[in-house]
Amino acid sequence: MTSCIICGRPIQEEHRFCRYHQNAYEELRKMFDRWEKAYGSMQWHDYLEGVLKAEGTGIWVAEVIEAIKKEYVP
Amino acid sequence: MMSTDFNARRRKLSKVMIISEKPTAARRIAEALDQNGNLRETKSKSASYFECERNGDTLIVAYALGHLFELRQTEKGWTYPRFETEWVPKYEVDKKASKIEPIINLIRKLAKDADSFVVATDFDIEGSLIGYLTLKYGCRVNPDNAKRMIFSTLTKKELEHAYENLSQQLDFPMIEAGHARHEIDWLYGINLTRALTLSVKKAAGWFRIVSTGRVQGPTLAFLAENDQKIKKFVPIPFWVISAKAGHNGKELELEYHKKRLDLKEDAQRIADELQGRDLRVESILSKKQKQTAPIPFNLSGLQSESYRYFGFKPSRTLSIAQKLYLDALISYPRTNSQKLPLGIDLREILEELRETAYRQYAMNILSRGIPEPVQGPKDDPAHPAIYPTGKKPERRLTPSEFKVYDLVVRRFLGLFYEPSIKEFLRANLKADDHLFYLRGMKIIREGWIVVYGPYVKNNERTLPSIKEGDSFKITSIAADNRYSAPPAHYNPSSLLKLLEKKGLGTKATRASIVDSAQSRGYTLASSFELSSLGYALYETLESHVPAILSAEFTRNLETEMEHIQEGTGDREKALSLAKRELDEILRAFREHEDEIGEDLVKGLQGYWQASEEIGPCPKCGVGTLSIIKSPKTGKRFIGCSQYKEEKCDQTFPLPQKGRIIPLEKQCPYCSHQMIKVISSRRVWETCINWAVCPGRQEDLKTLHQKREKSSGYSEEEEK
Repeated sequence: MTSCIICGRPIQEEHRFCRYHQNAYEELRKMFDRWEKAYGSMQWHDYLEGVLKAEGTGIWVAEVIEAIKKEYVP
Repeated sequence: MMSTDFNARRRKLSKVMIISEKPTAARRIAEALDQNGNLRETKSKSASYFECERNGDTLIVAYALGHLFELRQTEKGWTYPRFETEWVPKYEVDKKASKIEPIINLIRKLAKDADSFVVATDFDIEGSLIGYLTLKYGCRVNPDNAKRMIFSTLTKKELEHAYENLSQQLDFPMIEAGHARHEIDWLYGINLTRALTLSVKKAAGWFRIVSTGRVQGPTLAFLAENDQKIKKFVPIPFWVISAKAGHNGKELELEYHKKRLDLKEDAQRIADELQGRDLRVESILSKKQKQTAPIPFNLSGLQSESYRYFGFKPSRTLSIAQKLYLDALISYPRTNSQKLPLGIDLREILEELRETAYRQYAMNILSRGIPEPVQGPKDDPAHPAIYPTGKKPERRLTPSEFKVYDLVVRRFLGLFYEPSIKEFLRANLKADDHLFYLRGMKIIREGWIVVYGPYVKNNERTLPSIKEGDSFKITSIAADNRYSAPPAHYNPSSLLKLLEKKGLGTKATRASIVDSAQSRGYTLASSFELSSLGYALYETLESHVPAILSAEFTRNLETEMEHIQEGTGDREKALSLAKRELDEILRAFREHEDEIGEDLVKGLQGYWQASEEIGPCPKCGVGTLSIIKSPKTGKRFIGCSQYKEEKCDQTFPLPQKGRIIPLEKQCPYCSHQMIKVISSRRVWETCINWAVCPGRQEDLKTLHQKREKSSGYSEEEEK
């Protein structure tokens, strides 16, 4: 795959998304620790749901979450 | 000595030609300088000039219409690079500037009979350049021999003073700076825009202007960087303790001493521990704070305040302030200064304001012997801060003009008032280690707020009558979940401030740079969120010619131009630096022209698609609704993409004028998609189903009635 599954832009080398969505994905991963600490404990899936529902979540972050959720649908 | 020689020589001469910047200013100058009550306006085709007598001389006051001359490339061809330019009449490069030709012809004719020349254009780099070019290419005289009228208001007194105390030569450093700025901006704007536009043409065969410029590039980068921060933002949860407590039958909101708690567990524990507990007033602290009046307005200060209170874009505020200046109601608005120098006759202004609606404030200041006004830190050698002249308006001001005028007058009057004194009270309420605050604020002395009050938020909050030892019972308490907020999108005012902070553009050009980001489609109309076209341009430039986006790169040129204005720089040096750097950029551009073109074409296609697509079709549920122009009638409407396959015939009518922007919301009455319509007169929101939407029939009826009334047409008459 050479283009981002979300927006069609070219993907970054060794990455899953385009530069913007990849940045959003990395930001999402980085903030997991903060959420986990804030809530005491947290599962990755609950974290994604929480970020998706939170006010102020960036559109690229929301798109990345939707894409991840689709990937993991059994 | 020079002045005496000139005045002596002038007395012998018969005709003095004065060049002003605009017709209104020319009339004001002629009215002010006329000593015999014999002011004449002579019309010649669609131009005119004013004539009057003073000190035995005949004064001919002619006017420009802003710039009469513009730069044009000397080599032919709509291509790049084009580095060599010449000044030509504006109508030769701009077909719309047809009014300029009779003005230049008249100036040329009048100059033949004139014995001396005085430039009376605005005293800034643009005004000085306009005066210089008009003398050189319009009057065809040597600008070295011309004199300069310098003024900051168009009042009779100041204009007479400026004429009687002419500067013996033109302000050449300012002219050189204006010259350099025009040439450098022309070189960048023309060459870069052509490079972008031609790359699109090469890639797709279309001719679609894609513009950028020396300051527009970095502006686009600021917008893109901020937009990215917002779009990749992950909010962080935190908790606040929301508590209410009862006291003497009243329920009061309390503030927990920690504004935010990072851990849910901590927040919940605090809320649980304090449920139903009593709090005791441990202490009541009071702090008085003096606040001096806000400093005098410079242009960006006025634009910022005007946006905050009236929602006026910086360009609109500038245009209104310019009208007020031409009406001699306020001083010259394109100023950086936040100071009112000693030379201004404050008594006279206040005495004039005493005869207006601001009487009580002017009287108060006069009765106190005109205290020293508050001054700001910034200075501008050319003009003082913006202040009212005190003159009564000769015409009825429009509501918008009145708003800006009132703001200027009240800000000016407030400068002479005492500081306001506010008392901040804080009661500390405690239960074990938990501390709550109950806050109050009252104004002890209004000071300047008396006059500037309409533009001050009143945060006064009474603290209930309590004393130390009083008890409060918590009636409700909860740990509320909140999230950190993303950075805000820029608005016209904050973007203008950023450009000023970064030292990009001038006070006269920043407002139009801010407007151009939206008008060129690089940002969405409702905000400064970057559009798909904005992203396409940003990404293309970033990967192939990043220098165009670099603020650092253009700031060097700004510094060079500032040095020229200060008299320490050299225009030729700045110009050759600009050409050299631009040449490098254009070479890099040429190398990547094909990729740049392809990337921009993709961006343009996405942008057009996004701006024409409304949303899914509510009838067939398969097709997409988009804006279509009828090839037969030329009228636009909304239609379904399934129409061509004859699978869906859904259409909706559209207003024929104005820009249509699809909105991401549904009509509360009929659930159809909402759109925004932006016409030159107004902006409004409606749904695509507006013609039959049950919630909009009343509005439609009123609109029909209005139209009938204004056209004098009614259905009865037709019958």
